[in-house]
Amino acid sequence: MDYKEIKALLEKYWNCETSLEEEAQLRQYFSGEEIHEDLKDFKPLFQYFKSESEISVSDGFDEKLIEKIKEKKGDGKHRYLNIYYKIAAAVILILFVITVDQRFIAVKEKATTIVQDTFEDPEKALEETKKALLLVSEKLNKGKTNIIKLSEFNKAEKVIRNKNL
Amino acid sequence: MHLKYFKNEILPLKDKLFRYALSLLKNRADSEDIVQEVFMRLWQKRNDLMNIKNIEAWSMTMTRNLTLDKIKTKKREFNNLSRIDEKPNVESGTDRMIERTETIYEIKKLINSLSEKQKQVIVLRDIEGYSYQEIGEIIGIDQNLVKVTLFRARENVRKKLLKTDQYGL
Repeated sequence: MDYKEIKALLEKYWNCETSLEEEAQLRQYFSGEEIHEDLKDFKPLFQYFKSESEISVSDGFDEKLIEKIKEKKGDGKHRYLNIYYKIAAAVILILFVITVDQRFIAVKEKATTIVQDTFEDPEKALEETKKALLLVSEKLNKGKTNIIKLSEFNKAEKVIRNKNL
Repeated sequence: MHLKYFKNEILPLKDKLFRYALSLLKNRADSEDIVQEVFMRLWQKRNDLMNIKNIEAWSMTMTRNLTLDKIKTKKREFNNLSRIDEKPNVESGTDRMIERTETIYEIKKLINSLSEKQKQVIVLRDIEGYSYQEIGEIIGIDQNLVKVTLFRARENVRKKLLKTDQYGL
């Protein structure tokens, strides 16, 4: 590229009218040895751009990063495993609730059936209830007599204690 | 996305991301941490990456956001330390490369003296070679504004370059 062309390109550059390719041409021209005297002032600028574009991360950056990613990858697996465990636990819980609920419903239905099937005539029902209550009171009375006997024991115990004192 | 694809397609962006973070942070170690964080986030989102139109621009934006957050935190920490007399962290590695000639070092100072936006635009265009549209996407501004900002940045550089020359520096 001759001086005139570069000068025109440089003018375009200052006016922000150059394409990326033209800007690359300028950088290439200024990185060379033969630079026209009139354009020497701008050499350091383009040299600076070039040297800055060559800066890179430290050696070993990739290895460090990959190591970290692999650690994270392990964590991820563990996390997914935990999620699966949680899902399994939830399913078991739901199944348990459904089973228990169904059993409860079955028992309830059975109980309702027994009550419904007993008597249709209220008179009979009353009689049967009276009979049942009578039976209960008889049993209670039997128990009561035994309790009276027990209270006799208590009285005797008290007398003995008093004597000892 | 497999690790192999990640290594071949995404990891090569590392130097671009690093240079961008470095241009804002001026600290190699912090900039590498930022790039590592960007890659870790990209890896975590690896299944959604295929839906992103321009992964490179997207990664650059993420780098920019994380870097600006870091700068904010550093500024806060610096203020909390009640301005202990500490010299700014000058990058030995970077500087060694740039200090090949003193003039280039002067250019670095000149670029750093630009406003933050102008500096970012000039870095993304003249060092990284992005289109106006991509720069707009990365910085989050309209591409016409990118062009205007770049024009002002180059104008400032040109004036300062000629001025420096006048004084024989």
